[in-house]
Amino acid sequence: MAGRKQQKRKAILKWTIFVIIAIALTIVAVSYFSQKPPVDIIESARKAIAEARKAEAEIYSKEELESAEIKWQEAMEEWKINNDKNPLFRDYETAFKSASEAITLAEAAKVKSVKIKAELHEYIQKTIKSLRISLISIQTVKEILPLNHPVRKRITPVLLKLDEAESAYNRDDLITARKIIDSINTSVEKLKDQTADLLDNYFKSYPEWVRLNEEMKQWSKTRSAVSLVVDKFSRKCIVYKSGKKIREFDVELGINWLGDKVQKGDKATPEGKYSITVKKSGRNTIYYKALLINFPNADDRRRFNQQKSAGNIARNAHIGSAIEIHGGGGKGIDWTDGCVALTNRDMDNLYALCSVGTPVAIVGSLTPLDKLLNSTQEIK
Amino acid sequence: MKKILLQIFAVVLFAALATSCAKPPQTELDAAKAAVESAKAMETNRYLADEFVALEDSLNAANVAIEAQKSKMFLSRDYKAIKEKLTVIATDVEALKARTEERKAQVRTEVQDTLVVLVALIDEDKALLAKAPKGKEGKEALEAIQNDITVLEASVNEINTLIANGDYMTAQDKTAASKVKAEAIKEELATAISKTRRR
Repeated sequence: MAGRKQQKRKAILKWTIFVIIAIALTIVAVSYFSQKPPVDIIESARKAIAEARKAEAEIYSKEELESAEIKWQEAMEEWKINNDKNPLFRDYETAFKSASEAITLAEAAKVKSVKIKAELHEYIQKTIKSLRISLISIQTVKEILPLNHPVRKRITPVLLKLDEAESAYNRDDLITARKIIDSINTSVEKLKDQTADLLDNYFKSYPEWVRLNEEMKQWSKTRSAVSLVVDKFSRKCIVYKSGKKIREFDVELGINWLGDKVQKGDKATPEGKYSITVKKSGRNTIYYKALLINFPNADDRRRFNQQKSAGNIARNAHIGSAIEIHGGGGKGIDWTDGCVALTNRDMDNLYALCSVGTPVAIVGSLTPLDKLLNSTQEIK
Repeated sequence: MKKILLQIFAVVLFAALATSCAKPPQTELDAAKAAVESAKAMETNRYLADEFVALEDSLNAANVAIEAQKSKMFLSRDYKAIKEKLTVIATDVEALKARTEERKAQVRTEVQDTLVVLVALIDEDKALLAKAPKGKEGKEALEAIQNDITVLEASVNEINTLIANGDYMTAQDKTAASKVKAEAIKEELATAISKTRRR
């Protein structure tokens, strides 16, 4: 009985040892024959994607990053599917391939993102600077343009947008900054061209203005008398005597002073060579004291008739009259209907210097356009 | 001796069975995923981008770790560390969400405060415009300034829409730019008025 029990125990022990050895051998065999999981390569892909995202590839290289993420997901899915299989039948080849592609794509996304961000940074910085310069020059001109000029009205929204773009740029939101810049680029170019055309066109008469100024100087020298030159751009009335500038007064002009006077009611200050025909004071004028000039002269009439014949102005239009140099000025803006206004104090001085017959040249500018713009920008 | 061996075998078998029952922390993983998604929905990726990217990456790392465990023999699988990591991620996401909310509230307050100043400035500009010199000498100048004020009022409407849509950063850019312009108009008008008074 004892012998049978012992035999039974021996048999159990043998079986136990056999089972343990069998399990151990199975584990060794499975470990040996099954494919190694793609842990390292998928982990490397994950790190590469994280690096790309850190480099803001989500913003600057979205397509490449998305492709890398899709490949990484594919690798993960493939890995998961195989993990559910018997270890002996697992095949990680596709997962390895997808992970490897994910690494390549993520690295490319990072490189591209860094490059694009740097380029965008430079582009925005340069564009903001160049737009700012353009707008400063437009503003410079705007300040000397007639108040109701369309350029004045169009510049404010553009300036606001540029400030917004700069604000977005400063908080590193380059995409928003670029979007705003692109939305105003055309408007700024248009304004710049309009302003440049306007001034280029206006300053075509510059040689004639210089000639008229010289003529006034010479006239005063030859006759040892007083002559006047009104410089519309610098808002000055220059008094020459015996060929020398003896006084200079600030003046205010017609609301639409830019350009020559075309017809009655256009609120422009005429340009040309005139002379004082009447000196008014007391009840004869509502502007303290006034010096009436002979507008329209022969040149003005010829130009007016040409414009009328060409159909540029209405057939029933009038040329206008009663252009004076008068008092009541000092308002700080251009406000007259075409006359030249001085402060009453300056008018006293000018009135005393002038007499009937004193020649007056009204010119656009005695300073060339480039110098005018540069000097204003330097001040700013 | 035989008895001891038998006991060892029983223990090994029990341990093997017990370990092979270790399951991936699906609940924790789902919770962490949901937390990250909810953070994205509240624009954490916009207000605290770097921290959000780091948390998303931690979630990806946990996913990799889970699959790495699954690839192992059932006897050696261990999800304990991953489970803890996922819990930490979920907690961190909640903290990040709170910080995002704080940051958003801060930007919103800044924008709203500046907007109040801007609206007050526009009102001041309008009041000054009413006092500005009229008559033929002032009419055109006032029209030019009125045009600028109209642009600013349109900007205030846009800012309100941006705030309502929760786009506080764009609203901040717009408010700052408009405020500068409103201040410039105020100065321009004040100068014009003082010039008239001097006359």
